[in-house]
Amino acid sequence: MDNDSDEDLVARVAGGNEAAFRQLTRRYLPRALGFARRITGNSADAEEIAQEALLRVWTHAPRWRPVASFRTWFYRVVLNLSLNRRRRAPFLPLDEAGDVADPGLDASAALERDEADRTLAAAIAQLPERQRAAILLTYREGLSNAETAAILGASVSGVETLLVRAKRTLRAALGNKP
Amino acid sequence: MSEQFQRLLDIYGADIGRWPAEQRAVAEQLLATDPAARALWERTRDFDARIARQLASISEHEGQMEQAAQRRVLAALAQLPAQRQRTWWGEWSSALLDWDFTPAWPRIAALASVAVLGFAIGLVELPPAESTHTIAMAEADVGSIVFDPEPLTGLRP
Repeated sequence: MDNDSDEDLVARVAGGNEAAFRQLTRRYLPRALGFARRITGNSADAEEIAQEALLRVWTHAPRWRPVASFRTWFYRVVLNLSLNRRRRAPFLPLDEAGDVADPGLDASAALERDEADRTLAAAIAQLPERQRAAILLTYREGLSNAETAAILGASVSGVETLLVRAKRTLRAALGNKP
Repeated sequence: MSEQFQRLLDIYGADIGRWPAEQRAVAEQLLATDPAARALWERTRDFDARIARQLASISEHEGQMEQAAQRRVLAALAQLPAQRQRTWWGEWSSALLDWDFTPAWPRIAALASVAVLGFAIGLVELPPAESTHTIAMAEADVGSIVFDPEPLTGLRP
């Protein structure tokens, strides 16, 4: 079952197969938690969102229509739940400067890199939500621009514009930092 | 040229192998012949790597929190509710339910379109100016019959 495609698993979930649902959950729970946490900036919200999204996979599976890939559908659900949650609650910036220093660097270089990474983390957290989502989906989740467009409900050229603007902002935030 | 190349690097990333074929051929030629373009590409490659590393990084504390969150979610999903079965009448209503989870702009656009359509229909359906005048005169005539005083006695009805 480990090698089964997402779509095969969803087809079995639609028939009430709990084992297939557990397999999908193992595959997508860590991604959902990490993605929702990066969008909402809140671990507790991310937990509820991941649970809700996976519950929808189970309850909606009999009515799921394979017009898009399961991955696209699932990320869209997680993204929209996250955005809805963010609109209801003020955003708390991520406190995530915990990048472990590379032991191959000397101490001062590691400190400089840590500072640059903190700056970058803060800049990513402060991006407008759709720009941040585009960066997360392409860099963290490794999705194509077309898949990202489907998840965001935007055109591919719209996603390209989001990426260009986001990277300009991030470059400006980093400035001359190494 | 460098601005356009930077834009393409931002859109497709520094991994030229993932670019669309047409742009990839141009980019490969540019990298082979233009040192400035190559320097730009190297900077972008380092920048992309830094973003990817940052997004993948997670502190030990965050890692423990996330593991605990995973265990809680798995426990919460141990007992599953009944599934919603597919029904012939639920086809279009489920599409509406799905629509609820899309971004707000299609709904706003749909509402704005309906408002514009209603406004346009309202303009088309307005009666011409003469008939408005006729109606106003008719209403005035009715009023004078009911409320005007008798011409000889001055008594009001």
